[in-house]
Parts: sequence; C-alpha cells; structure tokens
Amino acid sequence: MSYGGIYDKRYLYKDPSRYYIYSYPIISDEMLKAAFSSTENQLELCVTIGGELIAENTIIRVADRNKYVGFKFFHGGVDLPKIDRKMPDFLASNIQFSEADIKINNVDGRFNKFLIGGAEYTSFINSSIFVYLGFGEDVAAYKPIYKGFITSDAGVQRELKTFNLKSRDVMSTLDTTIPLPRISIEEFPNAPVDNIGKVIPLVLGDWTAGFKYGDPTIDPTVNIKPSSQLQSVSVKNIDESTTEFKIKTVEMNGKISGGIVGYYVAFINGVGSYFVISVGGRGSGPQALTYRPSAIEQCYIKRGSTMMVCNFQAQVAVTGAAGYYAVVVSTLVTVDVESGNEGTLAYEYQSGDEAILGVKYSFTGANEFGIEDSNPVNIAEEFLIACGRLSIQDDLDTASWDFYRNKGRYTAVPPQSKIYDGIKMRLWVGDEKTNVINHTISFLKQVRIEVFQNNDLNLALRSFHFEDYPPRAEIPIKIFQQEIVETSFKPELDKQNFFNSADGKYSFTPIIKGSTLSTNLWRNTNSIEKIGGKEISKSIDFPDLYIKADVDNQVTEYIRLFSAGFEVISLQLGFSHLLRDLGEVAVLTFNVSGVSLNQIVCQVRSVVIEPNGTGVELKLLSFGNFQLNASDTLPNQVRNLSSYNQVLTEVTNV
Amino acid sequence: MTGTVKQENYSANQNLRILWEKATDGLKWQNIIKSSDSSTNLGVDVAVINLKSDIVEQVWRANQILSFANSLTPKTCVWVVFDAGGADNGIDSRTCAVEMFALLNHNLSKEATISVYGYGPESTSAFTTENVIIDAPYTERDTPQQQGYLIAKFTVQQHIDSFNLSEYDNNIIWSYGDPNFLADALPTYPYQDTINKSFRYFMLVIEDPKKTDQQYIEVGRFIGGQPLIMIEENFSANVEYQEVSFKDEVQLNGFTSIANSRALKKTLKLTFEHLNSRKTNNFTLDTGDTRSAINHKALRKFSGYCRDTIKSLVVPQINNRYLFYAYGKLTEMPVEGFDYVDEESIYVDMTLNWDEAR
Repeated sequence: MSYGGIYDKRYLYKDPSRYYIYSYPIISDEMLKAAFSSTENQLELCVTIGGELIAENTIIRVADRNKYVGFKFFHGGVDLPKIDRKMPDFLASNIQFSEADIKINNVDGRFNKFLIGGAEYTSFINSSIFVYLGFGEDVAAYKPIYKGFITSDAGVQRELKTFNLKSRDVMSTLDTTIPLPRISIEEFPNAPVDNIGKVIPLVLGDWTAGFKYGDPTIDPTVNIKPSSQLQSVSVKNIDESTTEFKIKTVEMNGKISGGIVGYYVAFINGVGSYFVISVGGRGSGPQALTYRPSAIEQCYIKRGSTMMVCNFQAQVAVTGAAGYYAVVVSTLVTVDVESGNEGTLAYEYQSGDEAILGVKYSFTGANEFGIEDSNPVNIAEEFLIACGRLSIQDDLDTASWDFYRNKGRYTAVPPQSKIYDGIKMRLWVGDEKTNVINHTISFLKQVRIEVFQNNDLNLALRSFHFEDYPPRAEIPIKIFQQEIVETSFKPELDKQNFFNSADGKYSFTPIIKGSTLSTNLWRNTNSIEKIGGKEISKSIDFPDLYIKADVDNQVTEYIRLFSAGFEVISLQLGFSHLLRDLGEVAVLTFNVSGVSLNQIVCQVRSVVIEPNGTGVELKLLSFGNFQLNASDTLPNQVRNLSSYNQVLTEVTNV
Repeated sequence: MTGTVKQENYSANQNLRILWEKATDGLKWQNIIKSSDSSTNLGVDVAVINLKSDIVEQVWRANQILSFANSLTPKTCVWVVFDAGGADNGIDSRTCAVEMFALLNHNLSKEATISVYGYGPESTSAFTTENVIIDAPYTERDTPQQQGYLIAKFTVQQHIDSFNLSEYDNNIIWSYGDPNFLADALPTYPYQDTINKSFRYFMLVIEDPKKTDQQYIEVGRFIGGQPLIMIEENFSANVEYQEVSFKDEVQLNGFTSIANSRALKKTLKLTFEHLNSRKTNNFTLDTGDTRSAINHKALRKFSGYCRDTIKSLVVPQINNRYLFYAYGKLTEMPVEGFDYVDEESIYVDMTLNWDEAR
C-alpha cells in the first residue's frame, strides 16, 4: 500500500538494505485520502472475543487474513458482517443499535477447546466482541468500529465447520426499561396493596414552577368522615348535619401544570404519614451522588379529583433502607362550619390517596438549587448515569456533552439554543415502561439536540441549531463524484418529515400524567403558499419544557427546518470516507443523468462499513433546499420554502 | 504477473526438485529442542514453534543475542536446534540428510548470513549448545554434539548475485551444490566431499548485522530435507506460473476501481509427458554420487503422502529457482493417463498443479 510515499512494507526502494520500518501511521482521513489516490489499500479487519485487541484475557483472535497485531496472531477465517450506525429518526425517539453476526471457520477444529466438550469450554454468552479496522501490526493503528456482547438468545450456534456468534452493541444495554426501585412489602410492610410495585420516581429539576392550584381566595371545602381519631378534634369542625368534617381544599381540574406525586408507604405514630416521592440519589463508591431536594412549600392530598389542604413537614424526610425521599403529612386542614376558622384533623390514608407537591431537586455543584440543575444536558446526563449505569469517562463523548451543556455560557448564542442558564428543563421518570435510551433521545430532542453513537463508540451529541453549522466554504469534508461507487447513488424525497405549521404541547406533570399546556399555532406562510396553499400541521410534544417562550422558540425552529422539504440520499463511497461519523456535514457534488447537485451541504444520518474494507454506505440528509446560514446562497433562493431565518406567523385566535 | 515460460534444455543436474519429506520437522511435534529465544521471548504468538507452521504468515520472531561463547567466533545471532531423528513410543531414532532447505517469509537484509549445521549420529542425546563449538577444525570427539558439521553457509547477497533473487523476495531456497562458504579462513569439512551426510540434529543460525537490538529477525517457515529429484525424465517444456492477487474491489464513477489488497500467492502447473513407469533411471551428481529412481513412482509417493492437503516446496529448475517455484498444496490429485506399449514401457501423462492459496 502506498500513501503519499510514506511507509510501505513492499516497496522499500529507498532502502536497499531491506531494513523494514515497522510502524504505520494512525488511520485518519488524511491517510485514507492519500491511499485512495493510489486506488488501493491494505486495510484489515480484526475480531476479538472475550477481550480487547492484545489483552491477555482475549479468548479468540480472528481476522480477514492471517496477521499479527502487537505480536498477537490473528487467524484468517472469519465472515464479518456490515457494521452500521444510525441517527434516530428526526421526530421519533427510537434508536437502533447495531448487531453483528460473526461466523468463524472451525474446519480444522482449532477452536474446539472452547466449545461444548472442550477443555476450556466457555458458553461465550455475554462475552465481549470487538471489531477493529486498521493495518499493519501496530496496536495504535487499529480503531474499534464495533463493541458488542454475545446475546443469551441464540448467541452461539454451531455447525460442522463453523460456529456463529450473534452479538448486540454494548450500548443496547440502554435499550431497556428504567431500573428504578419499586415500593416493596419487604421495605414498606404497611404500604397499601395498590401502591406495592409502583416505581419510586427519579426526579430532577424545578418542580415548583407551574405548580399552580386554584385561586386561594376561593375556599371550597369537602366533607370527609374520619375514624376513631374524632375524639381529639374540636367539635366545631364537624358538619353536624352530616357528622363529617369539612376539609379545606383547592381547585385542581384544569389548573395544574406542575408538581410531582408521592405514594403512601407508612405511618409513624407521633410523626405522620409518609409519601415516598423520589429516589435519594444513585450509585455507590465513586459513582455515588445524592440528590438534594429543597424545602417543600406546597403540598396537598389528592383524593379522586379533590385536592385537600394539609399540614406537612417542610423538610423532605428520608425513608426506607435505601434512603428514598418522602413528604410527611400529619393533618388535614379543617374549616369550622360556622365561623370559618381553620383547625386540624389527623390525616388517615384512604385507598388511592396521593400527595402532590412542588419541590426543586439539585444534583450538581452547590447544595442549593442553581442554574446547572435546570440545564437540559446535565439532566439528560444524570438520567443516563443513574438509569443507564453509564460511566462518563468510558461511555460518553465528553467533548460534545461539555460543549452543549455550556452552550451560551462563554459566547453569545440565540435564545432558542441557549442551554446554559437559558432553556430550562426538568425530569420526572416513574413509568415502568420508560425506555432509558429512548427517553434520553426524546428529552434532548426537545431542545433540538440529537443523541447518537459516534465513531469512538461513545454516546455523543449533535444539534439542529443552525448556528452550529459552518458556512459551506468552511466545511472540510468534500464528497466528489469520483469517490462514489457507480450505480449506488439513490436520492429519495423525505415525505415523512414535512410540515409547515405546528404547535407545542408542554409542561408534563405526573399528577395528571400528561402535558397540560399548549402554545399557539405557528405557521410558515411562505412554505404553505409555495405548495399551493396546503397547510400540513403537526403537534409537537415538549413534556419536559415548562416555560412558554422556550417552547415557542423550539416550535418555530422545528417549523423552519421541516417546512423546507428534504431529500435523503443513499450512496456508497470508497474507503477515503471510512471514518465518516454520524451528524457530520459534507459538501456533495454529483452530476449524472437527472441528478445535478453542485456543492450541496449534506449531513450524515447513517453509516455502514463494508467488511471487506473497500468503502462505506452512507445516508445523507441533503440541505439542497434549505439555507443553513447567511453566507450560504442557494440556486433557487426565491423559490425555496424555508430557511434558517424564515419569518413565521403566530396564530393567536383560531 | 502471469505468463507461460518455455524451457528448452534440462541437464540432469537441473531436474525438478520437490521437497516434501521435511526432515527438520522431525518425528514428533515438539522437536525444536532449544533456541536463542529462551532469553528474549517476544511472545507466545511469535514463538519458535511457528517455524513448523505451514501458515507462513505465522512467524517466529527473536532478537539476536551473543551466542556460542566457546567457539572461535562467538556470534550475535539467533539460532534454533531441530531434533530430526528423535522419536517417542519406542520407535528407533534416526539420522536425516538435508540437501535442500528453505526459509520462507523472512525479513532478512542482504547482509544476513544463514548457516546450517548437522550434529551427531542417531544415538546422540542430551544436546546442549553451551558445549557447541563451531567454525573450528574437525576432530573426532567423544561427544558428537560438541562439533557441528557445517552444511551450508551463505549470505542473502550471494543468492541475489548467483540466482537473480529479487532483493524484495522474502524467501530463500538453498540446495546442495550452491556456493556455500564465505571467503574466510575456514577449514574444509569432510562433508564437502560426500553426500548423504546424515545427522540427528540440525542447527539453523542467522546473523543479520543490519538489525539493531530491538529489531527482531523474523522467519515464517523453515523446512529442510532430501528432495525428490527427477532423473533423466523431467516435466514438459511448458510451465505455467502465476502470482495471484487476492483483493476486494469496487468500481467507482469515473471509470476507476479501488481495491483492498489482501495477499499475493503463487500457482504453478507442471505437465509430465511420457514418463516410463517401468524404467529405473540413474544419474550421477557433481560429487560422483549415483542416484536411481523410477520417476513416476517417486511422484506417486509424493502425491500419495501429501495429497492435496499438505504443502510441499516445488522448484522446477534449480539454477533459476526463483523464476518459478511455489510452496503450496496440490489443487487436486493428479489424473494419470497410461499408454501401454509393452511390459517395459508403460508411459504416463499427468499434470501437477500447486496453489499457495490453499
């Protein structure tokens, strides 16, 4: 292989003494381009099972040819699958992690010792699989392109001459429901039956905002009949006509837009009734973190559709062996039937009662709730660590996470993209069906940030913030026609992701298990007129945003983007683009037959690496019709449906 | 490269050689009894046992060390000792002759020197290289392992000069009759005058002064033994030789293709016409030694043992050995066409195809 005349093991015409130089450059865009210019490479793919490239605990090392890496021998004789990674669909919240089925040649019985009956039998289930791409022998010249583990479901299948190992990407461990604790009889023996099994929620952010109740000057009451505690209560609070107590309430229906719930678990004599509201923190050892709730300012007992005023401890209590947080309610507030004076009645749990309250959770930095505790990226990261058991150092691309959590901190950015001390979000997770990775994706999509697995196999972030996209002239990655495999170019209109008007639903509360508020409808009138007056409308959900201005900003940005109309282009490229990463932008030129694209900005949405090292399949989102920033002009500017600064119309009366 | 090579005349000395009885592989798997590797072990996957692996990409790597302190000329080198004759399970041990050997997939420079020594009769035991004396006058000794008989000693440069070896070819093939010794004051060994000098042990020594301390010597395969030599009869004039390029290739727009190159492997096809399966042929080597063979019978013995599953080194024309040769397996068992004339003349036509990629 020759690349720019650097190192080449075969043609050492510069060194007549045949002194071999045994080091190769790291695989990089520059190196691949230089090799591409000679139209030939000697890229090699290696697979290790049970450990990493040259680790001593690695059980099997195979490759697409007999070779050495770091003095470890890799047997040739493996069928490698295509390795693929995708961005999630734009407005969906699901992600597909890659799978790899690897067939290993065992015709000579080389690996019999690991199979059933062998001296070093291993079931392989849950063993790691790594696939590397590189060349030569230097360990440093190899890049992992897949990390997985062998599945328990038909993970090992054996035939006469081969055995097959089926694996899933390590990140697929995030494709699971939340591993939060549940209310159990062992921990709370007096918890009511209908609360047993309920998930103890994870709560982050400010849940006092929007925790609205009825006008406090309206003072409705409700009658309830307590039990034997009656003797200790003043008779003035009795409605003698019914022999029930009048309990002070507030109106709930139609007014709640915040707040969280607590589930009754215990009663302690002399203290009160405990309603568990959240987990106390996460992890142990260096991963441990304690969440710090603020004092509780408001708390009510919800019984059916009634919200009863109660007396409660302002300080959040700790309950259960694992240290969950709880609110302690002691009494209900009664109202004298004649004078209107208030009294108290010992609270007694009835089936279905829930505590509802507003509280702020801080989990970053100082003890008090601060800017960073409403930061969308911080919250998403904390959720991933707590529920996804991720390690920041090993599993997250810290560069992109840090970039976005600090966006707007050191340099000015538009308000719709200001993550630091700008857009505020909060998180309540208590539904047992919640999927960890999908919830993370949907959380950050609300601020137009996408979560994906990058080239380094870590979870990384990229945005649809238009200011993050460089002008076309500054985009370093170029795709030329000569790099495209013939007959592989296939453009297709994206019919699914097109709409020109939308509103936003926001402010989820677990009290009613839904988003309670809505923005006005926003329209891209230019786009509607240019398609013959057809309005295609969408309602977008922003459950974890709770400030209207933030939601308006996101809705309008989404309309600007998706009212333009896009093309998705599938193509195969030569190996010069083997290192293309999801979310990268490139400038594409292609002029063949009926397709004429000249320096069109595109974004990589899917990458599939060919196992034979000849190239890569990409899916590109073409911005051929959308002006991303001021310095980029488009050929049909006046005919285009939308742009980064498209003027939209807010419809205030329907 | 591909093409048909025509050879007009073959002298008796230049006939086909096939090295398939690999004496240096010994009678037991663990017949490498000692090597310089023990103190400079670079890893299990590059251990000296790889010299016996027909996967030539699976190599032995070792750093050179100062060796043979008791010799006249201690050397900085790598060395390995093969027990060609020792056996287990009550089988009698033996001695073997090495008239041809090959180092395949090596990384030696032009300045490297390769030496092969033979030691002792079949009863030789307890071999220890600490007592080895090399490059000294031969005398009869009580302990045969103390005196190594020099079988071959040459530099890579000599092969480049003598046999048109490309300096980038990484295989070396030595045959009895090659120029042997460096021009220094070395004594004449009796072995120079005799053939079939058989020994129990063989030692391979490689010195490469161009390698620094941290640059290892690498050899993928070492084979040595007595080759099949065709006598009088030989293969036909047309030899087909090809170096096959294994690659994955795609076609791009713009009338260009790109490829991922994997390996370059040789194929060799020899055709035999009118071999008389009844006639014993004799020829005398340069040394005066006489050999006899029924050539067809010798080829049958070879194909019957190696079949299409074991590799052999085929060198059709020893003076131009690097022009076309292969270390590979037969692609299929040969189809033999018989022409019966009379009891003393049963002629055979057959074709043998070798493929290194199998």
